[in-house]
Amino acid sequence: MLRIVDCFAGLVTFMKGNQDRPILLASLRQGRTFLEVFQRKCMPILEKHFLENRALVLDVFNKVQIPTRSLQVWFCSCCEE
Amino acid sequence: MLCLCSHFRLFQIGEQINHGGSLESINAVLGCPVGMFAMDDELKKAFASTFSIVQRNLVCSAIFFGINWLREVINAFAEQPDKDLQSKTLERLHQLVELERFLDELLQNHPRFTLVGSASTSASAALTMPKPVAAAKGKGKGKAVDIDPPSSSSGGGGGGDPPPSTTATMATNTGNDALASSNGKTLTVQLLRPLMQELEMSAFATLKYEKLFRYDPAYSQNSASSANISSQQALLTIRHPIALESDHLQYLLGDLAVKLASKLPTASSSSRLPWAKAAQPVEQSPRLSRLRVDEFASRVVGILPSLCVHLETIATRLQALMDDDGMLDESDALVVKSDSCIQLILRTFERLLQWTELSSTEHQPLLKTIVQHFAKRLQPTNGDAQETTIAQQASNAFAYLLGLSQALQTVKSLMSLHALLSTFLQLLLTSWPDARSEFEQLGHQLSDFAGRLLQKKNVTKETMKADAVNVLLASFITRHANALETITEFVKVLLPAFAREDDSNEADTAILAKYPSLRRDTVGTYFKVILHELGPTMAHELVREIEGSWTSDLMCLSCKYCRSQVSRPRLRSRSL
Repeated sequence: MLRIVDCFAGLVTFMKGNQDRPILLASLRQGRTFLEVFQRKCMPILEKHFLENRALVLDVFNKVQIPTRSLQVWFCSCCEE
Repeated sequence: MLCLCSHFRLFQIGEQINHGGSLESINAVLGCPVGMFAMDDELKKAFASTFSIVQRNLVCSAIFFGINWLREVINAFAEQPDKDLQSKTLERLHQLVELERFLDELLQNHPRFTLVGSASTSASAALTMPKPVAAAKGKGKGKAVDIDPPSSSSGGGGGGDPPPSTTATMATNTGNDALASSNGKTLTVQLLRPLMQELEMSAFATLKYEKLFRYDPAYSQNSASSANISSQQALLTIRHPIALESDHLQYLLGDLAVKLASKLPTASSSSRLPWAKAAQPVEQSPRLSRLRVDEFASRVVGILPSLCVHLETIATRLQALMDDDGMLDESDALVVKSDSCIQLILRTFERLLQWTELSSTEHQPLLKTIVQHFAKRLQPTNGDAQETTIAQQASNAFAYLLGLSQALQTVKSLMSLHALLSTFLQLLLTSWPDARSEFEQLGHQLSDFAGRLLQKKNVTKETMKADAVNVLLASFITRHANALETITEFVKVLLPAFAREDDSNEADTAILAKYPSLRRDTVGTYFKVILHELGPTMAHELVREIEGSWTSDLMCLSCKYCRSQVSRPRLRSRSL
């Protein structure tokens, strides 16, 4: 799961450097789908394992949170413009 | 002239009934010449400059009726087993293609073509004539190109014939479509085809013809004058080999594609969104509508082996045209024609496999036959061929199709092959879910093939567009044995190297050279597909982890995995 979350973060970093229209649109649409899957399927597992693997779970959340926040900030600013 | 084809059809059907399908007694009709003016550049010039409208109509109508006659003759004689008749039928096919091409050129200078003999006043009016029934009864103004006989035994037409009143003329309904699409455009032969005599399924028997020879009188005289040549040798040398050429193949496959589209529904044509405008049902010509769907499909399946042979022959011919670097001159007319034929054959295969009913239990024997046809091309039949399982046969069939990729050269034909393989694999997975694990191996092979296409050298913006990249990349990732590994490579290595493209260094250049399809115009596609595949990959990986080490902790997922394992002893939960 860590690797997948890493990939997600990597893609959002790439988006920051290449703000072409197709890339931004893909980030908006597919990024949301990814986060929905994460919320629906991964969160319950992470919740169950939190006590046993606290550090790992926090690491996963850290890695998801940064790109999620970036996406939110970026698209909110786009909406305002 | 209007009734000639119908009379001949009646005549030949009578002959076939009386002589057990043989047309020996009327074979002179096939060989007898068709009186026609010289179709040369002089005529074309005069047609464009000096001819009056009436003269132009006469010329075009004569060619139109000539085309109809040739089509009917081919329908009648194509399935005759005699080699001489076959070679003559092939010549007729050649003349038919030439006539249509010539008419097409003439129509460019005569967009308001009116068929002579038609009661209507212009081609447009002829196309918008009343319904066929009215025309057949002589109440309406239109022309009645053809009134089919009530019984059709030629070419195994079979099936229940509709009553005569509904079989009259194939022209007018489809003609309306032709007119609609021709508004404001040049009239072409393509638009006139629905008005022409219909090519029956029997005509596609010409695809099965093997080595044929044509009699050449001029050559015969030279041979006869040579005293040293014995009569037996002269008999051999006065014949020229004759074969189905690319033009003929294109012509027949184009017609077959229209028939497939009108007869066999696909998932994409039936599962439209509710708010989307309903697709216009494709009009079926009367003779085609007499064939039952399964009968039509089995006749198409019958010509698959011949199409495979043609495909292999053309691919071999293309390989011979390659230069020393293994490259093809894609502007060469022969290469373009051959490549177009290959694509048409592959699309015919794909279109057949897309038929929604093919995966149903009722039509599984037909699907098995298709699989066997392809498998036999890889491994010729031997005694124990029947004993192999369907999974093995399907693997052989898939391997045969995949093996064609080595013979195909252009990106377009390789894309067509990829689409065919993808459809075939999907069909196998749907039809035989028990053999899913075997077929998943085929999916990995398909993924490798897609990867090879993405890494193909000398790919330009024109040859591989973003849509093609989208399809290939999705196929590459979804069917890959280790999708996560692939995604990681793209995200960690390829995309960062692309982002650093401006500060070029050797390492990045080497990385980017591996994927020539990653360009400025396709980077968005790469990004979109990778991000899209990330969600399903995560779900898939989770399921795999759960399968690998189930725990009752994971019951929260309420998936089939934890429900089935709930009574087992609790294991130590696996670290993330």
